[in-house]
Amino acid sequence: MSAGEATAQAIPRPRRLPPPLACIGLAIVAIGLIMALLGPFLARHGAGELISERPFPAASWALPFGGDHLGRDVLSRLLHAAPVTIGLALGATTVGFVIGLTVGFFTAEVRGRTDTMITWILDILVSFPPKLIALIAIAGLGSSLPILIATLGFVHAPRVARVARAVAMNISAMDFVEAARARGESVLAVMVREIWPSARRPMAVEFGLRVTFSILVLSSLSFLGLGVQPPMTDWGSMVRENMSGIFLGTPAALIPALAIGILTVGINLVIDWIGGSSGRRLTEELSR
Amino acid sequence: MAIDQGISRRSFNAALAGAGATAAAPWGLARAQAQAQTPRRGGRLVCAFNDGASEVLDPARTKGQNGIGRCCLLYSRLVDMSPQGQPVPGLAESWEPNAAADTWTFKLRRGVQFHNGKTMTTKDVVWTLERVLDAKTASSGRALLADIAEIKATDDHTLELKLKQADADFPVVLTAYQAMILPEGHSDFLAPIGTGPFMHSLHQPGIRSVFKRHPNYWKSGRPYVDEVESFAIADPVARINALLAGEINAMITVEPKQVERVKSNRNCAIVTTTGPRHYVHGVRCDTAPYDKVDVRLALKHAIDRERYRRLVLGDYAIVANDLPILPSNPYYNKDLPQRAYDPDKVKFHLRKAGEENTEFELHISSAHVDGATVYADMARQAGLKLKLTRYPAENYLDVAWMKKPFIISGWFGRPTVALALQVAYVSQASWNETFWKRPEFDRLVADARKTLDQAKRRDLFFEAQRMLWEDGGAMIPVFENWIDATSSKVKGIEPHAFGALGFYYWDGAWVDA
Amino acid sequence: MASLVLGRLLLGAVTLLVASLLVFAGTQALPGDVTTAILGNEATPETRAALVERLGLDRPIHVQYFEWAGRFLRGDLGLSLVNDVPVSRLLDLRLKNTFILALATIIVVVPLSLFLGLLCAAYPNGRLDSSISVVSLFLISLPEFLVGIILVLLFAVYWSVLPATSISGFRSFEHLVRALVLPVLTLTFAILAHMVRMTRAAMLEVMRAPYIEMALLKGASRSRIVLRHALPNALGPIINVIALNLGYLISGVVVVEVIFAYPGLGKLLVEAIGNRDLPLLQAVALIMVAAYIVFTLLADIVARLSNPRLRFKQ
Repeated sequence: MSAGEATAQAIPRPRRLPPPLACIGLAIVAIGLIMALLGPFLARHGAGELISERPFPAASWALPFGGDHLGRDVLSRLLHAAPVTIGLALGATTVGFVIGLTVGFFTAEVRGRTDTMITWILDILVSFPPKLIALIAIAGLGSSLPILIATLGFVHAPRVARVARAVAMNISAMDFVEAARARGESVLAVMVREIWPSARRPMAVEFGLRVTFSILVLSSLSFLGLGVQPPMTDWGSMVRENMSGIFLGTPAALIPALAIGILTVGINLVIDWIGGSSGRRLTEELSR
Repeated sequence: MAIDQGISRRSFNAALAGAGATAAAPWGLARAQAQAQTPRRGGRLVCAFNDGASEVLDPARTKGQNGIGRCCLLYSRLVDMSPQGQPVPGLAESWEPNAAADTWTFKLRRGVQFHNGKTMTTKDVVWTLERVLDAKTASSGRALLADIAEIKATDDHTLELKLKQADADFPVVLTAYQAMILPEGHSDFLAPIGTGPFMHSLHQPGIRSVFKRHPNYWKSGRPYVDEVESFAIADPVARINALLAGEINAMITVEPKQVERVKSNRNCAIVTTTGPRHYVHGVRCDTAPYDKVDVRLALKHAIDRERYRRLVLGDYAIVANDLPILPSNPYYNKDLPQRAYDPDKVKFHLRKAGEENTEFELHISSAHVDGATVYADMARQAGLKLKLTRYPAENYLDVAWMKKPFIISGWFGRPTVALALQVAYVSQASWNETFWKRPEFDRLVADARKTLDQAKRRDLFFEAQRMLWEDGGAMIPVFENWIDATSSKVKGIEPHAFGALGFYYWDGAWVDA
Repeated sequence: MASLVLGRLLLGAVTLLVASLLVFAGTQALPGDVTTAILGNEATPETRAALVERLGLDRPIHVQYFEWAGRFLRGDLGLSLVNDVPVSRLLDLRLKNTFILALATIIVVVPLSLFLGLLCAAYPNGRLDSSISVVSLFLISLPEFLVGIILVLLFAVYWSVLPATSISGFRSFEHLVRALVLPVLTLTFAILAHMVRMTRAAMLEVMRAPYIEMALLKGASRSRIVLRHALPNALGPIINVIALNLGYLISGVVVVEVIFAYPGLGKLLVEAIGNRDLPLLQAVALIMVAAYIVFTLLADIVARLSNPRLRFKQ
């Protein structure tokens, strides 16, 4: 194994059971993943299945969370929409993350004029308000799934790149990396074998943060009517469709909104545990 | 479902009036509702419309509810439309056809004063109508009045209109808002002059318009209200809030799902009535598999209209029977049985057509989603597979309408059977979205247009409707209500089947103290 | 130092330029759809051609951009397509309203977050700090519409205390306050957590300096240390935090204004998008993006100026 990997392994890992909050977080994330993978199979009814004769029926045995504005089962729709919400967020984050990570590590390793120029470009890209840019881009280009993923990926990439660069530079300064370079290893080899193992933890934190951001932005877009379009549905759209029920006192819009909130809280709890307070602070500062 | 967005609102011309009975009658038709209380003179109407699209106070070129509404305040029509859609005397106090129904003679009311004191004569009417028919004016009313071949003023108060072809329903055509009467030669629309109940007081384009009472309005004693102010609040929720807060005392277009909010406030009242607006779920009868009548019948039986009405429109609609004519119309064919949700018939017709396993693709726009989703699931439960393909609302007309084989379109509805059938169902109709061509049907409608014999017309129209009902490509589940709202202090606005908030006939409205 | 500030200003200017390119490209990218979208079914070949000419869509795209940018800089924001009214007239009132909303939020959030942040920093990792930490973690995870919906349900539907939606035209101060309470509360929840965490972090960073430890050893009380010794030096980073969150307000305001039908810029943006009202959309989008860029730029400059290490670097 390389010196990088050895050093990474030498950093103490938490061996005891994770603290209670982190356990809650892990449980939430696990449930979320199950819903994302198996949601449609677990749902009792179809996503579009009409159950009730009237809009917003009250909760009952057939409708555990009540019905929505067209008399459909909220719980079933929640399960059917889970893969869309979670899958889209994961997809968009992964796209942005992979691009950002590559650029960030590369520029940290290459340094010199290329680094300055790339940093400069990153600074500009990061100055744009992420939500507004996503809004405008989708208003202009449409709300198809590829565009949603591409737009969010474009928003994530420069931020991830900046964090990756900072992390890589920190690690780069360490002796074992210098040694590897002195041995004549290629840029790619250094990135993969020496830097990446130590960067795993802060980058995992960053990934988690980016996922929560994706979930929140995508649901806000759907809430405004610009995200996922019907008949495909995600949690944000469910909130939007059922808003009229709010004024009738029916909380049908509250349930998908709570689902979103609970999921992001869970992810944040896990991130806090993985990264420790310092890891989070670094990425938070650089992410803004 | 927000029926005023998307296609139905931006769609085809505003309704025209009446179902063809000629009559000379005084304007003061008894209205039981209004007679029950005594109107109070004074007060202001402050009305919020849903669009500010047109700032032009020219009836020939205005559009959008705000534009039409304001023109209804400033100007009057030759022929008015009763709340049920019948032509009633307006500025013309009587009319008569010749035997062939291709020449109509109108007698104008005497002593009608414009806002500037001038008395109305046939010169003004001729000028107005010729202006609408002039291509240079670019009026949307040109197509509506296209049947007029010749306009002749026989004296100061008698007008003769010669038509290109016989039309027993002709007076209805003159209820078009585009044909509201202007003083001869006056085309300065920043200082509009008309014969309407209210006159121009203030006009700030894009902000608001104020109108004050016309003291010499031809319906003496009216209007009761001193002033009317109108402006636009585009956002439906903000509009309702303004009403709830008492900032306005009248508004148009309450979405069905917002009705409860308005009703729960004691200071507000919902004004609602059955209207002719409807969505057509139409198939192209010239394209497989929709060219098989069994497939069309299967589609028509695959919807539970009552349930659709309740879920999508929350009771603010009435069930329709696949005919674009309101059941209250005297020539509506009530002998046809109401189609019901019938899974057995669906399966039967599909099997007969050999299309049991076909998945039918319905092309919709984002404005239609709720209704289409409900339809799709009902169809599924009846054994008919329906797939929804959605297009953004802005592209839908271009991409899907009159092109794709199975679409949804929104219609304002026409008050006469002839007009309703001519606009989209005769073979040569420019908007024949179902591409349904039956020469026999065309003949029935054309004959009914020409004859003045009531009984004969009834038979012809009934037969035409039966053909359409059995064989046509249009599935029409419901007619949607107009839903508007006012403060509970506003009285005397009689709900009108063909327009919002009493179709802006506000001369009889008053505001209680 | 001057070169530092100038450098950032230059970067800011370039960013604004790129932003304007993005906004323009994003909205004017598909002319075909634009005309159909705007005209709807009144789109005949003649009306479409007239609209294309009026919007100048038939000219090469870079020409269009320069004309647009030129007009914009001169203050001519164009004509709203839906209302046929100059965009600047529509913006006037809305800008004022959003400004009022932002100001009201800031008046509430800044003192509150300062207070909480200082409290946490005074007793780091104590029970108060940990609980505030956990609560703020929850709050930053929630989407704004969740908070908004809960507030509406509680205060406007179940308890009928406050209006569920704001109303255009504020007739009296009391009316204004009642209309603002729920939107401001929603925004506050969204921003408070971020600000508390960052204030706390900034303070803790400052408090690591040796002179603080000296003050502690000399027996100074906590409050004295925090307020007299640490705070003045932390002011720079804290102002940085405030400016950053101002930027966040700009984008966060969109959802809040829609939920409460508050007639501000955010709602105007969403309406313009819905109506495909290009000139209006471009103007509002550019203003909001520019405001965000300016605030983050200010924040960055303040941060650099207040950091002695950077300030005196040669």
